[in-house]
Amino acid sequence: MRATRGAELAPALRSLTAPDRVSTTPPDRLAYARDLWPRGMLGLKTGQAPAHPPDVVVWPTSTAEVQAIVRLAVENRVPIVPFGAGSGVCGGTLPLAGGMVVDLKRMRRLVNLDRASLTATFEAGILGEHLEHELARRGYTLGHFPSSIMCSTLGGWLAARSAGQCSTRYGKIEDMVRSVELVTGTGEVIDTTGSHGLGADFDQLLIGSEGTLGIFTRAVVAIRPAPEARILRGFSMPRVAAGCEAIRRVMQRGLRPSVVRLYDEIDTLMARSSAAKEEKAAAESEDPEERAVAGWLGLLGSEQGKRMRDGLRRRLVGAALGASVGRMRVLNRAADALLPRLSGGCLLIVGCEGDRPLAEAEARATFREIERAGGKDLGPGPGERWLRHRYDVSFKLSKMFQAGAFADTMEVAVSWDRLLDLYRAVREALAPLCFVMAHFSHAYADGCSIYFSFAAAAGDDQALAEERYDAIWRTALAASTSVGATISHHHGVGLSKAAYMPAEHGESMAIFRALKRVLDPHGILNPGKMGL
Amino acid sequence: MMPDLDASLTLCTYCPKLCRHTCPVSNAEARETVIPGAKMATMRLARLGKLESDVESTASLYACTGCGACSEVCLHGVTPGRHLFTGRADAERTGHGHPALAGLPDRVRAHAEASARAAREVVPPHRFQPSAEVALLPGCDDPEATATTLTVCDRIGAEYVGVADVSLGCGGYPLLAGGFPDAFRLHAEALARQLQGYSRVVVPCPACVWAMRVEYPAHGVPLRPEVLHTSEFLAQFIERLPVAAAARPAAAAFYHDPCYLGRQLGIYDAPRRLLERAFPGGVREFSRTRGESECSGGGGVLPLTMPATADAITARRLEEVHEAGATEVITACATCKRRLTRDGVTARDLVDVLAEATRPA
Amino acid sequence: MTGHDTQAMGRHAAALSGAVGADHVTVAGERLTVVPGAAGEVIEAVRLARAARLPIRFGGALSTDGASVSCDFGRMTQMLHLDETSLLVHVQAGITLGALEERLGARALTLGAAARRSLDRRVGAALAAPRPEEACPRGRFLEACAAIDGVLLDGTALHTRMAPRRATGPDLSHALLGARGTTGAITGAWLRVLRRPPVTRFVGAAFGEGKAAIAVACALLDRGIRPADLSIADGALAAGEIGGGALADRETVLALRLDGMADPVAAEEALAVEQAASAGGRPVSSPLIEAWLTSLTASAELSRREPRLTSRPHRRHATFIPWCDLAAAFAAAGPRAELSALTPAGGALSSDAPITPRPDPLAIWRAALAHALDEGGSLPEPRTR
Repeated sequence: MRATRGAELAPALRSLTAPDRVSTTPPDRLAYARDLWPRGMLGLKTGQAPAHPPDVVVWPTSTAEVQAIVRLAVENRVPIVPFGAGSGVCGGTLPLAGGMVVDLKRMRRLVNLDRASLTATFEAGILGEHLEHELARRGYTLGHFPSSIMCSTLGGWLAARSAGQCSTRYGKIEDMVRSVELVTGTGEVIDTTGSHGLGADFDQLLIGSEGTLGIFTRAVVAIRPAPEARILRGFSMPRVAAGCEAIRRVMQRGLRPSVVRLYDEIDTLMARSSAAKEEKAAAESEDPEERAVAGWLGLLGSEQGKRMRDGLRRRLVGAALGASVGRMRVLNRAADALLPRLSGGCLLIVGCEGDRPLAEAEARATFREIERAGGKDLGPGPGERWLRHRYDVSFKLSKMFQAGAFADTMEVAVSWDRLLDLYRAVREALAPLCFVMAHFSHAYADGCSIYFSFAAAAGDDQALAEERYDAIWRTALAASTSVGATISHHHGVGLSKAAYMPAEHGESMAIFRALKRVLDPHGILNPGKMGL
Repeated sequence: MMPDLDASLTLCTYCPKLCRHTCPVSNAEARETVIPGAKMATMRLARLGKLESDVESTASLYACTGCGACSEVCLHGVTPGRHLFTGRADAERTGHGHPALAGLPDRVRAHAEASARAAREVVPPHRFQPSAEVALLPGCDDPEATATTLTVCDRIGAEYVGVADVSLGCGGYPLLAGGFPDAFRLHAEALARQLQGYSRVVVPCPACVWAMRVEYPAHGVPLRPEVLHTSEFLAQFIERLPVAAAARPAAAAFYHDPCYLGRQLGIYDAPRRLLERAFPGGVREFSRTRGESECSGGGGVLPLTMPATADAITARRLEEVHEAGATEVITACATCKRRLTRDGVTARDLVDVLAEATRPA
Repeated sequence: MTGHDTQAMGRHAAALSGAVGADHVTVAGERLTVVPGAAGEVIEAVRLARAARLPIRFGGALSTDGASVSCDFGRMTQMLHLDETSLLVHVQAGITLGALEERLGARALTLGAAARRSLDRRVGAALAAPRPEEACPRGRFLEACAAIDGVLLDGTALHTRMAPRRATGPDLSHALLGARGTTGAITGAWLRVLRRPPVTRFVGAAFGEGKAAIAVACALLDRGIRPADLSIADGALAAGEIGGGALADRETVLALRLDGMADPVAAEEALAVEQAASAGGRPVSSPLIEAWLTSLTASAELSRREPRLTSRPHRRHATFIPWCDLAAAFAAAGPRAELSALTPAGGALSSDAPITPRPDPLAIWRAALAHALDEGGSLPEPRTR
């Protein structure tokens, strides 16, 4: 394995930190050479070594150490990639130019919990699950539940503008932050505490920078008392359009549901069939909640319809995993044509939470609004089931790869007036290339994000698989930008979408570049990312 | 259904790090190399012949306490802890075993023999019975515990319990964890022979209970007696325990679930029921408890291979104890007891507490 | 003089007249004022200022001494697009919040409570130089901005992409939002608007002590209610503005405006009443609270229509105080103290006593960014960081 200038800094790094917090061993370098970018995972099959290992990895335990590390890197002009838990799906932490990876996970303390102001100060390296646990055991919540909560850090959330499953109520991470501390590319510290209301909102100029402007070392976040009540409900919507309309009405009425998730027909079919295993047990259960799930599954309709849907699901999955590319369009079209007729409808999960009387009142108003938009109440079962299995979907990724396919997701957002255009444009564009389904899960008064999931066969030739993967992304992003949608709602840009940054921002990139000149004048921070 | 080794390695290799937050080693080290998925991926590479053949490359296979916390959250039902022990055996076979484990079989044997001898110094000779309905197996980490357990048995009307007349005071778990399956099988065969005369064996160490119950049969070693953990056995006599009278200051001591007792054997309630009855004021729960309990750092021979990491794991488990201003932890495992006694905290075994509770006035 | 004599200013004015029209360029002493009608004309003004190495100020955002170009947005008052599906309005920077509010009102829409206290300000000014009182428990007015049109100091026109939220780098709008014109001009904005709420309720309670009122406000926000307005008046202010005779001596008044759907509003009202009562609050009648909170929205236009509101003294400037310091700051603020625009982060404190501006810990970074955006321009490089 090639070792470059970065490795030569190991002795100096050891004296700045500690001997056991610096590594140049091949296993450690390899472990930091990949994140969860599915394209990079294609090479795992054959055990191919990743292309860009860092030269050295260092684990600071304080802001002062991070500063010292950055200064050393500046003196030696060695690149730095800040690293949280490596759960990014855009290649954002790949050390393209080698250099050093600064792993923040040893900085993971709850520094302060201010019960009067309802804020908590955490170091940036804390894992999401640990952060929420520390708050939960004290009676609080951040309200941030990304599906990566077990494998992402607060710093990573800030770096990539993360969104959680309860974003409709609690907002995205950028809405929860009161102040941040960041070490710049010159080793200086920016602490935005006390800057509120005094000028440009500097937090918002730092959050989302994906390691290109600085290294987040800590943040003060707004916390909430753990909700006293959580009321979940499922609705069946006749079509995607009706579901979107229901969500729009809810959000524009000023209601603040904690969860809003609309699955398109195919995603609904997948969700329901994965629930089907529970169907029998649930129907026989003594637990009324379980029986409600069975009742919901019963809405699949007639036995015949159910068989047809199961058959369709199997063929779609089969296509995704093995069928030739040529058949993909046919299958996607078949799904489009058949699913609405099979009266499966679209599943909408909605939930309200908080102080009991407030949550109950909000739920009444929210559910009424959805019914007015054509929703058929399925009771609490589907919502409760979603809550129990809210993180399960991520386990499917390894099953897909194991079966010889690859899968990825694209989360884009646009205002309501163009939302259905976005949905159609991306589905149509992708139909020839891969199996695609979608859900709508982060809604606002002015628009919504769509979360497209796609899968295709990887085949035995890695280069061909990469080509296919790239073609899917090119097509999907082109379709997305053609209707004016943003290229990412919460996964970030990293390497995979860097080429689309000029299209996304136009002349505004001048501002990003100016920020780069101010905060990282030597260009040592996460080079090669975000189109800078 | 539990996936086989190959399927497990593939699933973990592609898994988006969904159990990393549970792993005590990766939490202590904060190093991507030692998250469960990466350790399994390393093992997969080794099996594909794509790993450098050196000790450094296989080191991460040893970064596991076998605590099973990762399996607890895995929807695929993968058991990385158990598979990594196999990975260690592979490494040992190819000459890339962990240097700190050199000669482990001899060391374990010597230690097991010393433990059996130590028990003879604290237990009256007549309690050693070559055959009995129920016999205690002397443990290796806490020789005193055999005598203490016997005392408790006597006080609750189980005077018939004897001590197994064996030369090995250990079920052999460290051999398995260290990657010495052949030595483990030999150890198991020897101990199984010595235990022929008993119907039930009561074992103080949860890891050895697991080894004897699960891994002896898996390694083709039949064992005649039923194997019980001390807490399981004593729970049968719960009605004979005195009810704790005076309440202590509320929640003075934490109860720590030993990983092998809880997650691996599913025994969560027996020790709690005993403590609830006999320990005044009851015990306090960690915020991560039962299936979510965090490891004390003692399993998987980690204290031998990565002592500093093992200490960091222990320190992390004790953070909550310090934060609560408590100084006492009760557990049901000699290894956990030893690990958790530090930094102003005293850990006691369940049998110590029961001995105190049953002491005649 | 800084090298720009009257003659030079006249030449600049003539040059600009070609692009903007002679009627819209005036020179008074060393100050050249341009009143552009479109973003392209703002660019001309910016380019001229840059070529002449003159500082340029936009709206009332930045004051400078000496020779300067001043850009007045009084002609850029168009509502460019109203998207009633997405509840977004695209406007030019010169429209006042009051004028916009009136136009939105015709469509049963509103800018929301955060804008109510600044109806006389132009959108561009409110976005470039936000005031602490331009907020409500649902957020700051600034947060209603979904995207901006702007001109950087080098004459680059930009439009940040309109999206409900995104993860495509920093939120670049914030280089201009709140920057008081130091980085460029805001020439237009996409603003999030709201539907007029079907139900509005006013709740008030009087407390013997200010800190009790603050504690109730804090508890209500903690429990998750998000009123359209949440303000507190100290004894002197309450006596003068709320209801003289209805209040006992020196009682602090907590005032809430709740609006939205009937069910949640009723639940919030019940919670507010209960929380206030449990802290010893005495109910104050809704009409008094309504009159007071409505009077705070006084703007030039409203004042013309509602002369009663002109009795309110000239508005005092407020300062933002985080929750941890609110009780102490309110107690120390002197007579006629008011806490308005309470949000989960803190509130805007104003009183008759002069308010010391807080030092800005990030001043140097803001200056550095402005300088970087003005590369080759006239801004001085910040000396140290």
